[in-house]
Amino acid sequence: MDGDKTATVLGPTVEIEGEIEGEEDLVIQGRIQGKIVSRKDLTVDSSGNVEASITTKNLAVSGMLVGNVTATERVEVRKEGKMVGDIKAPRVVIADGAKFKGNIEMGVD
Amino acid sequence: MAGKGENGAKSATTTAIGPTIIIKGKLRSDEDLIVKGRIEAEISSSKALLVENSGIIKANIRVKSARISGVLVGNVTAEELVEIAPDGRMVGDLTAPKIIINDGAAFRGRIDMQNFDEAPKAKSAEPSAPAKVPASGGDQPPAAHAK
Repeated sequence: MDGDKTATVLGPTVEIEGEIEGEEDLVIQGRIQGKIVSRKDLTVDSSGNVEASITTKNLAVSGMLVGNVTATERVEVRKEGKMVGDIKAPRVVIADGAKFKGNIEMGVD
Repeated sequence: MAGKGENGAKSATTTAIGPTIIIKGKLRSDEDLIVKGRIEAEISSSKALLVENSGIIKANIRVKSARISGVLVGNVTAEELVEIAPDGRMVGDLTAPKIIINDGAAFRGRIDMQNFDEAPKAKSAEPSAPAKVPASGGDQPPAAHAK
């Protein structure tokens, strides 16, 4: 039905310690510590603060992310975004103004 | 509570956890939560919790109020109200001043309406510690074991 449209937004006051798994778009405005596994798009909003290892399809970071990311499609660190950790994805975008520290592997062999 | 005026949007926000989401661990929030997915995480919230039809919670929760239309396995402590909707199922102990179990609901567990022992109006919520509430937490287990 609305399988394509569903998205879960974890609001700014939500704090999770542990694991999140999902098959829908996920937007994080709060604080997550642990592990995130998603088969769709993951967005860390500007108020979001994530300390987790992440496996997802697409990732966009506008907030703060500490942790390693494996994406099957694309990772984007947007201009307000800050990230510390390693990225493994076929496409990686780091926007002008973004802060990043870590390794990037785009699978160029 | 005091921050309501300085940040109006904060009080209006709601987090809806979608049907395919699984959360394990610990969850804390100061906004309304709607659960359509599966949560195996201790929840503490200063606002309302709504477990929808597709929602499953397996954990102890501590909230202001809760309405259960889905499945909840665990103990619930609410500052105000717990309601089990006609399609709700719950196994666990309930502690709240007001508890509603609707016709059709399934429930197994113990119920403690605290104001049974205390004067109904004596319960003035302490704004300083909405999340922990160690005072009431300390009250329950002895009372529960005694009976």
